[in-house]
Amino acid sequence: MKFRIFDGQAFHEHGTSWTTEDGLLQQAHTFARHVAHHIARHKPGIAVALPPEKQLQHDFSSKPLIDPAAVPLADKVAFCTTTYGKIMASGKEFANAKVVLGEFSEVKVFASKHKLLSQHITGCRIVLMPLVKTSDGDTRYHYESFFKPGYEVTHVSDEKIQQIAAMALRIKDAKKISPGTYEAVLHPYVSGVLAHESFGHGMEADTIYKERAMAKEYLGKRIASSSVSIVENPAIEGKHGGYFFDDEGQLATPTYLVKAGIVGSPITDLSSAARMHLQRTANGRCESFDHKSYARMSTIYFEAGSGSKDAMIASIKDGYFLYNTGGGMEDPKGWGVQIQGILAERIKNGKLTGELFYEVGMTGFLPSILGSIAGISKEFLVEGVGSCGKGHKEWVRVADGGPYLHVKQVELS
Amino acid sequence: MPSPTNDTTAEIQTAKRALQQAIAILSTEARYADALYLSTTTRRISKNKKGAATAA
Amino acid sequence: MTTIPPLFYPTLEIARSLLARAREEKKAADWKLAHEHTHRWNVYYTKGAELEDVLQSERHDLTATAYVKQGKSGKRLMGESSFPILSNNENAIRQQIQDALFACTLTDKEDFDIPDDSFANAPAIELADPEIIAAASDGKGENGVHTLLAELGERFSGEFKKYGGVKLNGMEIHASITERRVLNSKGVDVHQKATEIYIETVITAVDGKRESEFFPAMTVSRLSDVDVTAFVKKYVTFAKDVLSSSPPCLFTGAVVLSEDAIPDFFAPRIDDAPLTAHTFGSTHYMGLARYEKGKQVIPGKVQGDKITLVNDPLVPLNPASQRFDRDGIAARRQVLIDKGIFVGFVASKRFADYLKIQPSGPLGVIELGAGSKTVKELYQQPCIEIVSFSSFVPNSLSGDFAAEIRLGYLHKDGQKLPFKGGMVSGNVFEAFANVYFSEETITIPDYSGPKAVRFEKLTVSGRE
Repeated sequence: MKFRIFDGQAFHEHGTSWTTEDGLLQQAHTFARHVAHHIARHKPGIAVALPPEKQLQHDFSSKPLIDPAAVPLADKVAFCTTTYGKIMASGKEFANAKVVLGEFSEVKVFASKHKLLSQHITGCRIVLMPLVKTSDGDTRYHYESFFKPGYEVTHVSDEKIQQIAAMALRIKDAKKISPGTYEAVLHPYVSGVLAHESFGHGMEADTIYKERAMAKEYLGKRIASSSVSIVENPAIEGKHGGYFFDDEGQLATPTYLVKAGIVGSPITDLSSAARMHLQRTANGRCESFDHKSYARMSTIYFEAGSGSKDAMIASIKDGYFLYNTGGGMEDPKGWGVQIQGILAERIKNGKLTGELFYEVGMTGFLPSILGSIAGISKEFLVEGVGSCGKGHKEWVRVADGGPYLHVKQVELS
Repeated sequence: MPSPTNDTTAEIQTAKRALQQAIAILSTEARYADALYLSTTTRRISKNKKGAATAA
Repeated sequence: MTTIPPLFYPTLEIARSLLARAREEKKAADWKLAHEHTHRWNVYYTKGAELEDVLQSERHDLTATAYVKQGKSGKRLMGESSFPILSNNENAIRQQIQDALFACTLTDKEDFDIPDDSFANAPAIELADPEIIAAASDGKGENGVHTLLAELGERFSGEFKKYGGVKLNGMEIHASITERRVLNSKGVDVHQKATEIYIETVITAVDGKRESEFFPAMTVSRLSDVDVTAFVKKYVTFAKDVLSSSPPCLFTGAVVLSEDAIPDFFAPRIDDAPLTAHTFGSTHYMGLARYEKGKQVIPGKVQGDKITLVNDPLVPLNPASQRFDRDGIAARRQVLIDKGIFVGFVASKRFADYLKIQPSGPLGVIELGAGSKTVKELYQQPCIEIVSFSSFVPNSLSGDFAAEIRLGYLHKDGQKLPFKGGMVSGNVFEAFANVYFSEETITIPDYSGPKAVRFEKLTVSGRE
């Protein structure tokens, strides 16, 4: 539970985890007195006008196909044990496998003078991670994660489980890549991280306000060909980053960060929207009641195009297919790309060669990479679970993904 | 706009009532005030070579 | 919400008595309660050092764990299930315990024993800043700590104003007091109170139309350990060096780590550090570890200095220090790797039982043994020096890494040329086959050891 008061320049916040209804009201009185005391003692700074609020009263909830609360615990444990068995039985080379089934039920209620909103969001995730030993004793692994609003997430085909296991076996013999600039096809897992880490963080209005983002120089300008659009969308249903309203009571709607190659509007929290006179987007999010809200992403992706993955691979004489990543880090000021833990496969004469490369890093200048996008697939996938920090803290649940991207030039090492 | 379901639990009803009362107190002298109630429950079950583990 | 009382502590007693009853009735073999109580005071400044937000909060997190011993197919097994207690409603807690006891029957962990109080003789080390504690408890309440933080904020903005060509475009200062308590059915009851101060600044260096930034953060336990002058001087220099930097050229050769790159490399979110991950009892039990007790951690011929790695959770007023681990096992200083030989496991009570060793207690400050050369000798040219990674996240099991460089220097022909970008890539275990550590050492949060480390052969990607 948290309260906020805006004094015309700054917010004052009070968060608490244990209280009664009476205790809560007592705390509201005490907090209001504290803030009044603060205002009386401090000299005024720059006045900030918050955007006007509309009257709004709504209740929202997720629509799981199978309510996880209705599934017996024994069935959930059996799913994990059976899936673990399936992975381990698919090869003697597995040193171990990890199967995780997670679920959450999140209730949020937001109130202000004009708004009263509630949302109940449910989610289930599974993570499948086979581990193998290499001939020189190293341990390597492959993993994939899946997310759905309900227990239906466990409906993963045996074929998919075998694919994940088979990839781990192939990683056993993967090599290190020679650093260089290459042509590449990015799997949706990689294109999503590129959209999130490299582009999305630079479009957070609070970051731009602090003069931390090069995006400021590009607002309204072309950064890629007209086939490229990037969308930040908390309203996309059933994804790990989704919600109905943000932690500052703004209803979820999509925001085009890039529309037909032109850089659009930043995503905002209430404070940055007010300071920069920008439109509010539903991106004011906090880690918990004892953290401040910032401008944060939810689910971000490149919009689908008209190409196909197979045609992209077929068009490459010498390059790499990038399957998956371990994550990345933002560099909004330099608009640098830094994505690590990539699994890559060599493409030669239009075909995947089976030659794998493990723990590859991607780096470079984002506008150059976006400018070198040569193809966007119609295949589109936003699948897994993600956790996003602002710098190294302020963790919120997110998702990313999108289409396959054909990129002419990317630095891999 | 996302479509509202407009069905709520007792927890949500209680939180709404409390927050509205709090907002009435906080808004008396403030230009703007808001309140957020959050409650998250999680469960995690994992299976690996160490054995199955459950956390409720 | 309506069911939760303003006083938290009676709830802990309700949970304790219900768990104790389940044990008396032989429904549970054992139980554990872990309580964390945190007060937080944060101030946030945006561009122009304008105050943006002032936050104060208090939270309680209470987690209960039930243990059930059982036999299946002639094997002794341990069931374990944890759950957060979110209300003081006795019936609700009783139901949670019942659910957990059922969950225990579904788990199939190899048998182990939770620790008794003979393991929990937690040493008395100082973890809390008296200044923060006094400000929080002298009746001034939230304003007391916030006032201290606001004064510190003013010192930072004043210090930045002494430098030309830079702007302080944002700052966060957080302080917290966290009390932790672990108690169990075998008499463990340990407690600690720690403080933490976190500072992050956005420094923009400007030269005409060109701009660059450095975004440093620091965490300390004690307000008086914040050296405002030294912090500002160091990071203003870094921000300006980024401004005058170029992208790197492809380089294979000696790479020296210094400044912020050292703790990032040796103690990155500790669990992720490959050097320590292979000392974990859990890694050994699962057959994933590359170290063998009494043997070299780096296979093959090792040139240069040999690694000595110590886990020390007992450094006073260091935010990485702790008095006990999650089960209440007392902290102790322990050598993990001695001159290249693996000698000590980091293990919880459970994995210690499995491996028939002593539990280690918690991880703390990672201490790296000093080396044979002076810092000056380590910079023998040509070499690349890395002072800051964007984010160093190695694969903790394989040791592979590819990390982008936020700021580095090329030392060549008597010059020191700043660069930004490119990735340094390699494998931690291969890199240590030829490494030199400096004689001179530093102690900072999370890390104590050489001021500089030279790897003789690593690759930095860049223009060819």
